[in-house]
Amino acid sequence: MRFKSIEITNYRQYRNLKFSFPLMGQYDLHIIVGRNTMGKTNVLNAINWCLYGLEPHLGMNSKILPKINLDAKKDAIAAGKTTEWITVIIAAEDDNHKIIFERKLPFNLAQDFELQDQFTVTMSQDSGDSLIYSADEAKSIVNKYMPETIRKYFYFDGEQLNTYFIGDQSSRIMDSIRAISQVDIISRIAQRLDKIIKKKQAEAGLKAQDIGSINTELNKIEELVGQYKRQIEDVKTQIDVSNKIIKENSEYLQGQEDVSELEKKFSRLKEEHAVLETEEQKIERDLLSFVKEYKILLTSYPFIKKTLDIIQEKEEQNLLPPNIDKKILQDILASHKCLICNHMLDRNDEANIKSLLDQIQVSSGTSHLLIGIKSELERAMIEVNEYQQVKNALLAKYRVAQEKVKKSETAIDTADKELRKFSNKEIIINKHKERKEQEDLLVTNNQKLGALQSQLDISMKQLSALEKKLASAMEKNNECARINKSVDFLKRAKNVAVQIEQEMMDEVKSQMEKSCMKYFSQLNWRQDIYDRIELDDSYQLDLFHKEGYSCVGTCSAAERSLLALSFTLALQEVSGFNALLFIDTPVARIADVNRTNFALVLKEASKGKQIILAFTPDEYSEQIRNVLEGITSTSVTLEMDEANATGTII
Amino acid sequence: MSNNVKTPDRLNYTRKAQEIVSKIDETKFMGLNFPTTTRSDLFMFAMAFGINTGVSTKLQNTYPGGLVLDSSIDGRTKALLYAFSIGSNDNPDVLDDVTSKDKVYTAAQELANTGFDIIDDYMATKKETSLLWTLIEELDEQYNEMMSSES
Repeated sequence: MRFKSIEITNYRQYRNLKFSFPLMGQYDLHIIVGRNTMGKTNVLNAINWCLYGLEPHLGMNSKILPKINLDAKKDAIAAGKTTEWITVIIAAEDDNHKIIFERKLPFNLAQDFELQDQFTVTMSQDSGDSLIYSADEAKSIVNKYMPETIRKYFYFDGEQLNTYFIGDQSSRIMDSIRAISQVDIISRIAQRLDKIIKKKQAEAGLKAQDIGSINTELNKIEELVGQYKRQIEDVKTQIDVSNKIIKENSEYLQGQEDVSELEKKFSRLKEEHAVLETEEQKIERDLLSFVKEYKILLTSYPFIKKTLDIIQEKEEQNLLPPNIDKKILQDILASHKCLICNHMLDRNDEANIKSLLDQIQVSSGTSHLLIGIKSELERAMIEVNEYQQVKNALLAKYRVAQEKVKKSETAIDTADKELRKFSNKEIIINKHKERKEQEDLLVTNNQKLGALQSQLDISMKQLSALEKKLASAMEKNNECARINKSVDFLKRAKNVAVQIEQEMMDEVKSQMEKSCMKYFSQLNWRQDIYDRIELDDSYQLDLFHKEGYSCVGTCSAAERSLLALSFTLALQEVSGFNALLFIDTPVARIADVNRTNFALVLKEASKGKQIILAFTPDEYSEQIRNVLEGITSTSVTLEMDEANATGTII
Repeated sequence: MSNNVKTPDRLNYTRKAQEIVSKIDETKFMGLNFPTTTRSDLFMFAMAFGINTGVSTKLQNTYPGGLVLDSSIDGRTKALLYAFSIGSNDNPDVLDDVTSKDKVYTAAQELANTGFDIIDDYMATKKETSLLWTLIEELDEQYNEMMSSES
């Protein structure tokens, strides 16, 4: 791509400036000459601002000023405008397609500040129509032709060239080489392949089946099925045996009394008899208790009755309990004085006390005793009255129990007589026992057979499901194998891409070293002292003296500038990246013969590349002019319009 | 009442009666053994036989330790002991005398002493079952006499 023109309106010191860069002859070389402060560097800033929205080469004084041209601002305010536009338009072409980069910035005059700028890229199509791109699409087009990350290799400030290899620039250089030489396409391919590999591996991981564990489970179930089948056969054999024994014994026992049942009945009757006897004994014990209790009660009855009568009588006489303690009265009489007030008793007193004693028949202690035993005696009386009732109930129970025992004994006798009839009783009993055992066994074995059949059915189903699972797993594993094959292929492809990337980078590096050394040798007047340029793996540039030592750190500022220029020219040559080269004050730090060399090198370079050089009049020295005059496509001189304090082209 | 008389704290029995009680425990005769029958009830049972005979036998060669301690005599037994003493007395005005614990216990012990001999005799001569029915018949007679005297 090459620039056809740059049109600057109301930007910095330019009210209205347009550079055209037509290709005249074989050298696409364009010269701009202007004194310091004429605005050469701001042409570089205008290009950067238009393409990237940046002004990387502003001086300290310019940084504090707005982008708008101050005269334009004054005129617009005077004309009553509220907004004035700052515009930079770069017209370019690439394979006969016209491309217009345009950045516009509205400036709010009333409030004196810049609004949001607008950037568009207009591209002509083969059909003749044009498409306008903005925002990210517009940025993307700029990065396609002049990537922002490496803009410093297209738009140079010559005064800064010597700082290119000072500081940590290597990573930027490596990234730049990778981008310019388009090796990053291969890197992206490798990265993409890596992503696909990981995705496929994950897919294969999901599909991978543990056939071993399925087989283990399958074997287990097969073994179970075998066990169940063998057990079923065993149970069936046992059932056949049981049936045979039952049949034989039934034939033997046909017409025979059921001795076994009789034996059982006999045993049951015996057990029942024991229970009845126990019951009878219990009632006998109850009768004994009854006798003991009533022997005491009935014998005591007359005394109980008489005692209760006495108590009742005393109670009726209100003598229980007595009002005065009989013993105290007896003690008073014995001591001839009152034990309460110590009054000595006379005959009359003693007579009164004796009379009182005659009335009190029961002492306090006896009174309490009588009251205490009364309730027990009353209860005893009630029990005595219940004698007949209790006795009859007990005797009735006893008679019933005796009757039961008697009946039980009769039943036992009858059963015993029945059993005595059989001479082959033992054989019959054994046959019965054996038949019963086999019948029980038959029931158990039939249940067992049913359970085993059920378990076998379940296991057969499990077996069938596992066989299907195994088949499916094997199918999935085949699929997995196919994916793994694909992963192997992708890995190989990725390795090839990585290898190609490395080879390309190695080749680019090698070519860069050679090309860079070639340009440096052409530019530098001390051609006999430097041996080679090397780029290490991180693309850190190093210059080696013929004596073999590294000397990039000890180079002069001029040599470092030439080295940077050499590197840039080499970079563009090797990468084949078709972008213009704009160098502001290219030989600011280069003098004498080097300037000639510089001019000669750029002259040759401009045969296949658009180069714009912005010189100060001093820089555009005789040595330069001798080489460049007459071959440049355009050459302009910037002069200050004193009246308007703006730059113009002469 | 003399203050010199020691108030009894148990129902006593003789060494001979003690041997009879041991035999009862051993043979479980009539279920009179301990603990099927309490010692209080055994004493009262023996006393009942004594009352029936109307013969008191003084205690000679008392067995040390006695048969039943006061603390083990239940309320009903005590009531019956005192009722016997009160009911045997024809003069209701001398109650203080007839309810003297010493007198009550002594009389009861002497009647029971007679009763233990009767039980011993039963053990030697009667089978339990036949004695049971004999005693039931006796009870019936006692009851009927009681009822006829009531009417």
